[in-house]
Amino acid sequence: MGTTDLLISQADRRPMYLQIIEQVRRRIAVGDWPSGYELPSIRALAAGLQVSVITVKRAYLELERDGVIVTRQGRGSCVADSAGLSAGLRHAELDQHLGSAAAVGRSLGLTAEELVARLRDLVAGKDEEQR
Amino acid sequence: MSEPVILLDGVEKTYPYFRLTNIALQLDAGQILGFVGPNGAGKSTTLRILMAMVQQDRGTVRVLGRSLPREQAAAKQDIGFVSEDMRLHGSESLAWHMRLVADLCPGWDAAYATALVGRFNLHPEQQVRALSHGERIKAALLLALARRPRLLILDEPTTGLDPVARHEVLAELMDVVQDERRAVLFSSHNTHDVEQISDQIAFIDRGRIVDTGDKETFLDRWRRLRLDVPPGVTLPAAAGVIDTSTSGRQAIVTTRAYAPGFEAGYAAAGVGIHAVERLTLEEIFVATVMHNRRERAA
Amino acid sequence: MSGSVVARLIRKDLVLARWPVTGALIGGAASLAIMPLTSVTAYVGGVTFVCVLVILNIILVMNGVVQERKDKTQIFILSLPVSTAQYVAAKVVANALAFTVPWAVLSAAAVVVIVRSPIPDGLLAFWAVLLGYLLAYYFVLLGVALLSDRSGWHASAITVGNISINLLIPALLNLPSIARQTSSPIAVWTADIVALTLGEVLVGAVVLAWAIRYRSRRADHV
Repeated sequence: MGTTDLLISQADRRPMYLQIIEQVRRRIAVGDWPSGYELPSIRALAAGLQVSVITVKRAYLELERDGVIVTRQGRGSCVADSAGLSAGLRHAELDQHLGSAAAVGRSLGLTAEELVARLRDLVAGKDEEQR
Repeated sequence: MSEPVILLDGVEKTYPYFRLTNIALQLDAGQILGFVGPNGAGKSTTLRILMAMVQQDRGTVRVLGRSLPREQAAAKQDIGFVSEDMRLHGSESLAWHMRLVADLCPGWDAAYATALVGRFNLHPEQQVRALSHGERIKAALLLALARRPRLLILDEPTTGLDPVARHEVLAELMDVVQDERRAVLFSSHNTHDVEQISDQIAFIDRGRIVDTGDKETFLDRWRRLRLDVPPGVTLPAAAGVIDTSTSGRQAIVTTRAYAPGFEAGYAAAGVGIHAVERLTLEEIFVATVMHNRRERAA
Repeated sequence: MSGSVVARLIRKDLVLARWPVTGALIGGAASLAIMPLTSVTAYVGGVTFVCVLVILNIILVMNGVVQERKDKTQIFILSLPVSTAQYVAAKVVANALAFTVPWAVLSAAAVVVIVRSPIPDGLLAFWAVLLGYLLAYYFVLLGVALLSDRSGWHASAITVGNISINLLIPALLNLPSIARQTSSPIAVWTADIVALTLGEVLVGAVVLAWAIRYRSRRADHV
């Protein structure tokens, strides 16, 4: 399994780093890259894909922020274990939902503050339900 | 943090009909800097100053920790340079040139040179004057790459190359920075190449650096918004907008200071948002230069 | 790595000049070979001999110095770990060697031919001044090429140089101290002949030295 597993398309107008993130997630979701699998080093991946180092760095940073991968100082990055993975995936899912909510809110003409207040109410309501 | 591989500060050079003004550039180890500018902007002059082929009238030029032009021979031990208008000795062969360079440069890697001959599909015994344009560029690149220099300075390395050759050359350049002590500075018209492999970008126009920054930030900062302005509504001012064009209800706004939530300002004013698009580096470059020229003329 | 950077660059330029030098040696030898045969071949040989040295001069300066600048081959060399001072020094030394050595060899051969053959030895005086002039011409042309990139200057220098040879030859033959000996079996080295020979070479060398100094002071080399 090498860097050539990832396919970056020049024709795709989405930013390069997003394509990399998506490809990494797909590999993980499909099972090609199991937990603990060592990702290629940032420079090796950059050379393999012929994209700049800074782009790969950004992709890895976001993947780490989302808990999909874990970076150890001086030892590169590897796929997070299942617990971290699920958390990461669920975080991504949350972002998606929130994004949709924001879009609906905008079309309704709500401001950010109104949207947040709405969310707060809903959270409070859910908490009440759970008690 | 170790010293930058390239440091230009306040560099000036005056010619009868052209001036290089206040050039500041920095390139750190492990990075690729793409240098973009129209013809005659001063790219080649700047690169020649970095190689001490031209002496600056004013300003600091430090390459690999050496001060230029004074320490040029020492600096050039570790710099590989290729420019599009450079020529090899036509009457001799590539192999002759390889022997010459190997003789003069301590870092010559013969095994890598042989590998590149194969990869670039060159024939070492062929006379240079019989080579096509693309082959000549690849030969010159081979001579620079096989020295394994810490810094590569390339003036239009992919201009005039067919797509396959371009792909090969870019692959070799990316290979160079797998070693994080090495760095590449290349100038190009080809914004696509620059967008693809550069970490840092600098725009130059009419002898001045017009903008610099890291590539991802550049691409993040710039957006084109397609707006719908209903009658009775005025388009509010927004940060970093450098161009607005309207046609009836449609307005296209180009900004270089985009941040999440940017659209909110327009939404609040009652402006409809059709689309928020990223710009290619080429579009960013043209917009920057045009805006800069308008500002200077005003 | 053995030897210095300058030595390597000199060797490179000498290698590049191998064909003109070889051609000059062969052409010069051939023209010397036919000189002693008849008075016609003496004339033809003499003229050819002068042409060979003039052509070598022009080819070395134009190909070795001017073309390299025009072709931007010098950018390639300057991209290597050499300083511009080393580049200019090596270029001048190599070019001068490529001319001066064949010139010296052919001049010595000419002397031998004149002494050993029926050609009157008195002509040695004439040839000494003429050969000295050809060397001075080379120095001056090299100096012009170092100073100027403009083909107008080069063409003018070549034209003036060539035509001046045409004027020099009859002037020399009319000079009393030379005219007296053109048929004499003994060469007489009068003071004015010696002064002329050494003087013209010295003038040429001074022009070249000044050109080198001026060129070395220039900060831009491309």
